[in-house]
Amino acid sequence: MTDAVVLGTAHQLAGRALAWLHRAHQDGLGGIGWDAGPDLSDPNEAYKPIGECALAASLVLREPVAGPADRERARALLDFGWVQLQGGDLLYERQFRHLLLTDPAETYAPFHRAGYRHSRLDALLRELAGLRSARAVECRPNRRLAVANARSVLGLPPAPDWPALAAATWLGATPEPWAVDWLTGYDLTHAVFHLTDWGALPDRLPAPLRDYLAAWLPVWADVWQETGQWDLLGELLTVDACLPAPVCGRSGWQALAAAQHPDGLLPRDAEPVDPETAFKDNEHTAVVGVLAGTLTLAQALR
Amino acid sequence: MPSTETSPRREYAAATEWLAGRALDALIGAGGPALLLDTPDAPAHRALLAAAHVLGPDLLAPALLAGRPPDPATTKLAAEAHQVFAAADPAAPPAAALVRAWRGWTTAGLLARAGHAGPAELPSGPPDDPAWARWSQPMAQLSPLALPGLDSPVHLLARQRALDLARGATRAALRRDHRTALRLARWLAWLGPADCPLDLPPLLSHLTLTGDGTPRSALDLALCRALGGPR
Amino acid sequence: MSAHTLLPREVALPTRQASPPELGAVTRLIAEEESAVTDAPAYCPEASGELLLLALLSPRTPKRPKDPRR
Repeated sequence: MTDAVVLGTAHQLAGRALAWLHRAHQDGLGGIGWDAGPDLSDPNEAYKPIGECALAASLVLREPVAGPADRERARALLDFGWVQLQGGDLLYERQFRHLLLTDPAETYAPFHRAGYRHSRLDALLRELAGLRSARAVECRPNRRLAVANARSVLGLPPAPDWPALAAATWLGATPEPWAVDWLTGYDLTHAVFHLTDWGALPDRLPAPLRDYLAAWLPVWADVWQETGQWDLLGELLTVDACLPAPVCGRSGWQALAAAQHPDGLLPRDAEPVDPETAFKDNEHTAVVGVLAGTLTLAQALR
Repeated sequence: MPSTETSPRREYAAATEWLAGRALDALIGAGGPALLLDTPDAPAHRALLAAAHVLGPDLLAPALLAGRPPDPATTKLAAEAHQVFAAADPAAPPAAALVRAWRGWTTAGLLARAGHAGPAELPSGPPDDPAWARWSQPMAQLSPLALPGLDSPVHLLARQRALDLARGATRAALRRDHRTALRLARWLAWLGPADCPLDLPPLLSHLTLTGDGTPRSALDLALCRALGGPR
Repeated sequence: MSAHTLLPREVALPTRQASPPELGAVTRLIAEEESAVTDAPAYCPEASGELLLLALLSPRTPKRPKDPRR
């Protein structure tokens, strides 16, 4: 059973992070630019964050834990993103021009989950799902899981072999827990997110991996909490929320809440926040805060 | 401040390293489990006594692991050190005082086995902080208790909280605090592979390569390996 | 048994009980604190295997065609 202090902290932190994202979009930040073509000179600049925002918002709507005001903000974030993606045309054009890219389906999935549709993109993705070429595109194992889960959310065949996909990841090897680095920390969190469809299916995580995480997740959270890696700590607490029951305790949540600024900004790390680049630098962490809080509350209701 | 009041810590630390080196030689060297103490580079006797008290059970470990009684010179040194240094340190914080009490009690027990009877009052209770990261710190300081054939409420707790010890060792290794990692690895080695939640040999290899290279760490590593061998 | 004699000067020294500074020194050696600073893994671009893969094996990025054929 999740600790009531954790639930209260998670609720407040997620609500404030969501409000911060929403306010930033209202202030004109986070847009992709009206002249953006399918080639996107820098997909990480605005395109990827739009997908990430949509992901967080789609889960706020999926889980029955947010109040009406937060649900309204989540809907507004999705509407904003869908407009930025030109009603899905940008995704369609990008997939049409670059058959083997996986990001159009990955970006489309959260919008699709929240009820947005683009029929030509649906048809194109169905066609590509039948191609051996598209299915065999080479990518890192945790990225392969991301694609498999996006296709699963979109209802595309074939049904993935989840145990095989899990086994190919770093986490799947149940490695020495003391031999992890910062980037691999993110690899393992993403493996869990996609394997469990963001906490909805904790049992899709193979039992040995659940046991492994129950043993070592508290250590990683402790170590990166001490160094003020708030973004990674938030992802690790999100992993905790994707397990059948939490294992991390309240200290990580309290540290994260203490790091959050009065305006809701959740800093990515312990470095000073540069006001000039505050939004771009910390928008991913805001998304993580919304995810961590929402899924922690959802886990307590399961 | 008169010179008698200055802390002899540096001198004692050097003597502890020297004595750890002798214990290591006794543990792994060809000369058998007796410690070779009367060499020209030996520290002053007072510092040697302090070092013997700091190492405590580790001083008697080579004999214990060889299944023999400790040699008379080592026993005598340990007994004198215990007599001179076992008094409570009035300035010690409670957590450190508890660690000292357990180490002293264990040394007294080993000395009693070797025929040096002494008062050995069981300390009030083992460190029992429910939070694994905090609890692992006094347990690292109590790693000299992790020897075969010893038993106490500390050992009982170590068996019950094996995962917390493994988490503590993992945390210390990730913080690159190799000394603490090694001390907690000592408990994991003591638990034995069947009860250890962590695959220990790779961690020991890693700590061998990345450790601080001091005799005290080398002794801890050798004791870890000896604990993993046939009992 | 002279072979077991510790050190010649041992006999001459009184076994004076440890003074408070001496006890303090052994306390700190016995109850040695964990490292006060952590050196936990941090972001480091050089740690990314992908960068190395790019440097060793991948072709140089060609120039984008000036007049893309559609």
